[in-house]
Parts: sequence; C-alpha cells; structure tokens
Amino acid sequence: MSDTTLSEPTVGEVVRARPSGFFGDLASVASRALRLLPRDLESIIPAILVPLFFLLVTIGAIQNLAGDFVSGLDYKAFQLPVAIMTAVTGMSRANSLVTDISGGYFDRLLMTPVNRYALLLGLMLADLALFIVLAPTGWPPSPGSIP
Amino acid sequence: MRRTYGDVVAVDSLDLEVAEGEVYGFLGPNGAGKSTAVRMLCTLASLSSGSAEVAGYDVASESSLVRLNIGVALQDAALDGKLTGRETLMLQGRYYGLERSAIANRVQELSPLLEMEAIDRRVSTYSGGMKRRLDLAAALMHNPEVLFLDEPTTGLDPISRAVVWEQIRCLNRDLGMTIFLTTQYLEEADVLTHRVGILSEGRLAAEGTPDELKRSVGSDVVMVRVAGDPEAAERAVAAVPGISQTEVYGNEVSAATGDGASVISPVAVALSEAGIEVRDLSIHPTTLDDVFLELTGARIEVEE
Repeated sequence: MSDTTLSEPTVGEVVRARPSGFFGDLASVASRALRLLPRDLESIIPAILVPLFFLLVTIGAIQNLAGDFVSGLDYKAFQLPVAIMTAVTGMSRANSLVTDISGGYFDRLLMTPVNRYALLLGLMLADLALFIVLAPTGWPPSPGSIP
Repeated sequence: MRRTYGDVVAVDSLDLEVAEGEVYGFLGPNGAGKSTAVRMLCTLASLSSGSAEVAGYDVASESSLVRLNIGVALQDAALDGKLTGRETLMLQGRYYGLERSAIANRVQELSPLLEMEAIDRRVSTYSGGMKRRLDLAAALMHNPEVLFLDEPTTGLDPISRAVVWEQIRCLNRDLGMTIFLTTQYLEEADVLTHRVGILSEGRLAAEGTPDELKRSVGSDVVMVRVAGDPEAAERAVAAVPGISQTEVYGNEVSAATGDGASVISPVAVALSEAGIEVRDLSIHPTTLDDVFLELTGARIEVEE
C-alpha cells in the first residue's frame, strides 16, 4: 500500500474487456481447479487412502471366491478401475464448487462474463484430466502389479 | 424494479437513473434493500418484475454484455482463500479475455491498492482490510465502465478507508468511471457521492445531492453565546434577514436558518451594532445524519 493514486492506463493501451470465448473460459476454470488441487491436501489424502484400503481388503477377501464363480475372471483387474473411480470421485472438484458457493467466490465468477456452462464443465474437465493422469497407474492390469 | 423473496418484498418499485460519470450513493439502514438492489443490477439476482439497464444493456436479456462492462465489489469480499493475491487478479483478467501482458500491466497499475509484498501469499492469510482492497482491485482488473461497490469501507480501519476513498474519487475524476455505491456511513456518502438516494424498506425515500437533501430537512443552526443580555441579542439576531426562528437557552441564542454560511456575517454585524459582547459564534450545519433520521425515523412513527 502506498499513498500514490492509481495511474491512468497508458494511452493506446486502454484495457477493454471482451468475451474470451467458450474454450478460453473452460480453460480458465479448469486450470484454476487443477492449480488448487495440491493445495487441498486435507481432501485428497483421504480420497486416495480410502479406495486403496478397500482395494486391498476386497482383493484379499474376495479374490479367491470370485475365481470360483466366474472362471478366468481376474478380480484385481476388475477391482482396480473401481478404486480409481472412487479416488477420482473423492477428489472431484465438486467439493470445491460447494466451497466456492459458500465462500462467496462463486458470486464473483457469476458476475464475470464467463460462459455459464463453462463454470461447471471446466470443473468436470479438471476431473477428467485427473482421471487420465491416474488411470495409467493401473494400466495394463497385470496380475502381478498388486499383491 | 421490484424483487420479492417469497412474501418478503426486498425492493419495491424502485425507480432511479444514474448519469454516466456520476458517483451515486445508496443509503439505508440494514435490511433496506440496498444489497438486493445491487445484486439485481449486477445480474446476480433476477428481477421479480420491472426492468433495469446497466451501461446501456438490459440486465435480464443482455446479461453477458452487462457483465463485460461492470466491475463489482460485494459486501463480503468474494475471494478464494486458497489462491494467492496475484493468482486472483490473473484469473480475473483471464475471465475478461485480457492478454497476459495486459494483465501484468493492470496488476502494476492497481498496485497502489494492493500490498505488493503480500501479493504472492494466499488470500486466507490476508487481513480483512487487505481482502477488501484485493477484492476492489479484482473488480477493477478489466477497467469497467460502471463500478458497483456494496459497502466498500465497512470493517476497514481509518487508513484503509482513506485509501479506498481516494481511489474511488480518483477513478471517477480521472477515468470518468460511473460508480454506484451503497453505504451505511453518511459521512462517506457526503464526501464521495454526487447524488444520494435514501432507501427505506425497499423504496426510495428521498433522492438528491447531499446538499439538497440537507436543505430539505431544514435548517442550519447559528449559535451565539453572549456575555450580556441574551434577550437583546435574540432581538438583534431575529432581525437579520434569513433567520427563521430564534430561541434562548441561558446565555446562548440559537437561530435556525436555511443557509448558515450566508447569514453568519450579517449576524455578527447585527450583534456588534447592538453593542453585544459575543463570547462564541458558530454554525452547526445539517448533516446527512439529520436527513437520515428524519426520513427513516418518520417512517417508524407512521407504522406505530
């Protein structure tokens, strides 16, 4: 803070707002969501630990049984995508939308010319990107990769 | 313009016009409908009936054009605590389609409002005053034509308030920005605004320049404390043209007048011609507080 006043915009370079287009809006919303993801550790860590726990528990408990019902079923290959889906859902930016709405930031977004659909689709795009990053961790589903 | 929430009429048949380049102030007690009116004009709340135009565009049918041309700082700073100050401003710039270089320029131009040493810290670590100023800077990122400020200085310390006032004045004077603000502080309306509307229970109770409003409620008071005979002083003061009423309390004479500044010297002359020794002579001008109490207080009496 200083006691000088705001300088006038340099002539010839007056900033004027313009719509940044649907994809520009989408990118802005999605990049914010992804940028905030690592700052949200308290919601990410449980979201990863819980599916991992259930992955191990269900594999340990049901793997041998499942083989008896459907011959040739690789239960681990079946259960791993379930775990990834659960993790992505748990980390979903839907939670951050709730925080935005209750915290007031969403009001600011609503007052900008950002496309209304982009406000929601941007978050889904961020989730999709997250899923694409996580999915290869279990691909190809090799039986030996999981204990 | 009318807005209802269920059975509650928050804003009722509000009709007003703000000229380009004007600073317009909305005054009213809590719950008068100031914020609701602002939310309607900023496209955050829909109109229950009626219509409104902002920056030449209809808020209902051309809302995205309205949004491009307005900047808004709401009552509660609309910020995300997990972003840093700089990220907040950069995102804000991107929402309005600004180029990366233009965003950097704007951050530089807005630096007097910000605490630059804290700009890369997360907003959640900011003090209330810093948040308000960052919020204002975010509202100004795209150099809007019309700026809405909902209680811009509520909860600010006197220094921050002075900074915000100075910026508001400067934006209006140098950039010709139209500014619509709401406030509970009458002093703020008096200092900043060209025209004031007093809102009470969702209706416009009065409108005019701060001076007009003060005159409409009445009167400045000229107080004279004399050493000698107060009755003689009263006779002398009452004879001055422009004095409407006089009263004596002890050795003080109070005289009501439409315009204190113009009668004070005739009063002084009349007193000295009457040979009265004056101990103290002062003007007590009407403040917007008096206007406010008169208008909103009168309404309470009607209901009872």
